[in-house]
Amino acid sequence: MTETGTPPLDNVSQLLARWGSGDKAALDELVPIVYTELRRLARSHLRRIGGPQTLEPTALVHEAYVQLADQSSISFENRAQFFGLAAKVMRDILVDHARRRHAAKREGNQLQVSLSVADRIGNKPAVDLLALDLAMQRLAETGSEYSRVVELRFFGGLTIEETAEAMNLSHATVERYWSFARAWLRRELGS
Amino acid sequence: MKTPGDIRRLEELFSQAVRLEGEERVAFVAEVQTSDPDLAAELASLLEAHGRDGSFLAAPAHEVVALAIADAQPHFAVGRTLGRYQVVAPLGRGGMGEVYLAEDSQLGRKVALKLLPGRYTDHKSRLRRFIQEAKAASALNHPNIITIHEIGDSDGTHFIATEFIEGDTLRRHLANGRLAVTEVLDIAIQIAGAIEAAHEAGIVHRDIKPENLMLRRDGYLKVLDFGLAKLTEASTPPEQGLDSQNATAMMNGTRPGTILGTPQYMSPEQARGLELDARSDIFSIGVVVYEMTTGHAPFTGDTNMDVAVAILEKESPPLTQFVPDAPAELERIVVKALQKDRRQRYQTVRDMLLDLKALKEELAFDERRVRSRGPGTNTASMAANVMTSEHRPHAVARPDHRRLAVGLIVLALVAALAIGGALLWPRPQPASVPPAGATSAPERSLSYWILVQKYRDGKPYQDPIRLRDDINFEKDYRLRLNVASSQSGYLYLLNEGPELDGGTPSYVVMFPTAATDQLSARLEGNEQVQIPEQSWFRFDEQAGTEKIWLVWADHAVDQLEAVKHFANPRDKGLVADAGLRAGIDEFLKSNSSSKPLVERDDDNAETALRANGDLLVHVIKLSHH
Repeated sequence: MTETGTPPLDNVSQLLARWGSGDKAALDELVPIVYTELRRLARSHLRRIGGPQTLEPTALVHEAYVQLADQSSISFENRAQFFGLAAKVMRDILVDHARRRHAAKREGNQLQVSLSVADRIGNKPAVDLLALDLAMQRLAETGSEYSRVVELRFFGGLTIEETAEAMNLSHATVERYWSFARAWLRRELGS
Repeated sequence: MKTPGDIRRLEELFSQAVRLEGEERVAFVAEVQTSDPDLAAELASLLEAHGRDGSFLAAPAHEVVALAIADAQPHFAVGRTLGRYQVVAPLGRGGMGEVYLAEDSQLGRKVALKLLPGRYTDHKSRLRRFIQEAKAASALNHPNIITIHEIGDSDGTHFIATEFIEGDTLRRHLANGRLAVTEVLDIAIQIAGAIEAAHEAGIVHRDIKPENLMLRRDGYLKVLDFGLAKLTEASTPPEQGLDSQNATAMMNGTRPGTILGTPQYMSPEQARGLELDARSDIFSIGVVVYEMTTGHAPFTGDTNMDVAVAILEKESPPLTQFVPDAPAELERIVVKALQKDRRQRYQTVRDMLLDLKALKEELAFDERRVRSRGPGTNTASMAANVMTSEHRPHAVARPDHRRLAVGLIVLALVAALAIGGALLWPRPQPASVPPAGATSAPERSLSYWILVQKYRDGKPYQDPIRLRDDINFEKDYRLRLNVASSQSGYLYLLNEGPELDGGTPSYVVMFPTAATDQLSARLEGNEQVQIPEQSWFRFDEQAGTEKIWLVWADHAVDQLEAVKHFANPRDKGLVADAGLRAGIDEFLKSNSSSKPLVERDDDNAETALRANGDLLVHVIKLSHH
């Protein structure tokens, strides 16, 4: 007899709740689950849609949420938390991807298959993600809420409304922060 | 160093300023300037950045998100235990799941562990079919087919544990650029060998592509993922052809019956979502061979749909467009594998394998010859290379024909009697052959065509037709070879058979024949020879490729004159003397490197040959299945 592990679907809500009530260990458990789910969804999107062009990160995050969260017991706060978490994970993934891509180019290595696929599709990120990430870190040192808005909007693909929900801010404030953070980052990146 | 208070103040000023226009905004900044010049400068720079054109961060990084996520290192499985396997490190991603290096805790050996995503394993009967097929392929124990240790599941995660191969995928190998022809052949022969074994066991791979071909460091190739395509296909393949709706559905991957992922290696029937057979794999091998040779796939496009359209409608550019010195025979093999209509393709991968091997040997021979400047000792051999003509009484000489010939084709080991006749009559110079002697440089020219009598169930049907020699003949077809030239000269035709002891192939003299005047090889200008005259050649039961050497010289060739007397009713053309065989071999192979110019005239299925000098040596290859 072997004991079967608890499927992730059952405990995401609980983990979110624990995380919400200040249990940092819950986050360590949550990240891999969200990460795996986002990856799985991204891949199935890629296959279904035939290319990354039409994939909206926001759709991905919503789908991940629906898949992962136990709808009946999820609270409103959980939902906002989840979006925030998903955006954070997405940022990590993207920046990590950009870093490896950058390293591969620097070393003159042949890029990995999937990367060369990306190259063939002509899929260039509109922004240097590594530089953006560093600039966001600098911004976060003095104004973490501005950086957070960018994370949710740009990496999480959330709307102003959803961002407001996730950060517990007013719609107008999010718009203001967003506008400011963009200008600030743009100046830093010179783009 | 700014404080949170500073940045908050900056943000407030910025938010006010962006609501102002033109001079009002300038005035606003000027006012800040009076109290805090540093802050004003920063504000001005932010307003400048804000005012730039473009869509900075406006849209989420859609394009890169999915790929990046899909590409992210799958490190969460590391450290996990699945059954008796401890996951050690990620190896990469296969077409259908992540692959990890793992350790078999019971046997203490390394294995490659592929995890199958749930969406492929939910369908139980499909999963069962896949397991059955994957195990059957593994059980073939073929050196080029990966060995599966176990297919199992642990806590609902389905996995495949296979032998761990240290090496690269062919995809990775190709990242360094195209391969030399010899390497292309080495790899292609191994792929074809594995697929042949699988086909014989009734297993079609369906997803042959560089990602599924693993090259070990010692040069061994292993074909992976047998049967895996079964997991993604429909239980009942759709029957309709490609219409736009189907195509869209296919590209969306929502349509069962099609393989997900890149369509570049799909056969046309696969792209259409039709039922597949072994010939689909032949097409895919053709694509891989093409890509190895040129460095890129033959059918490309910006989108999957474009690629699929290219597969269905476009001809691949010739290899020589990218690799000028690619052998013509390799071109022929690739073209034949990439026929859109599977009935025009190689019918069995074995046929393709034989051609690949023959070409490899030919090139190796040329190489040796160039290196040693001497005759080859270990000559090429053709498997299943036996041609018999129908057992028929001797052709009777007809008075109105100037000459009569009997072609005698004999098996090496199986005693099959073969007597045919050859008929000669004057014929006008074929248009595709330029008149000889027009220039001062000596040149040999000749043309030939194949007359085919279709046979079904031992009976001829339809009138005989001319066919190109580079098709794959059905084994029941009977044929005659016709040769004509405006020039006079000496014609010799020899059928190369299996290798005999001593390393040289067997040779059967097809022309001259016993019926020719005193076995003379001499032809006058504008003569046409039909071999055999009244009977037909018949292929051996076993599929393969017939190799017929054609020698057209302006002088009698000693080595061949020495063997023509075997074309008698007793020897039936078979050259019984080992020394003479070696002489033929040396002559043919030392003169085959300067290949004649080959022009195929599709309209009347005629092949024209032209070579500089006083000697033309050419191999006619007739494959059959």
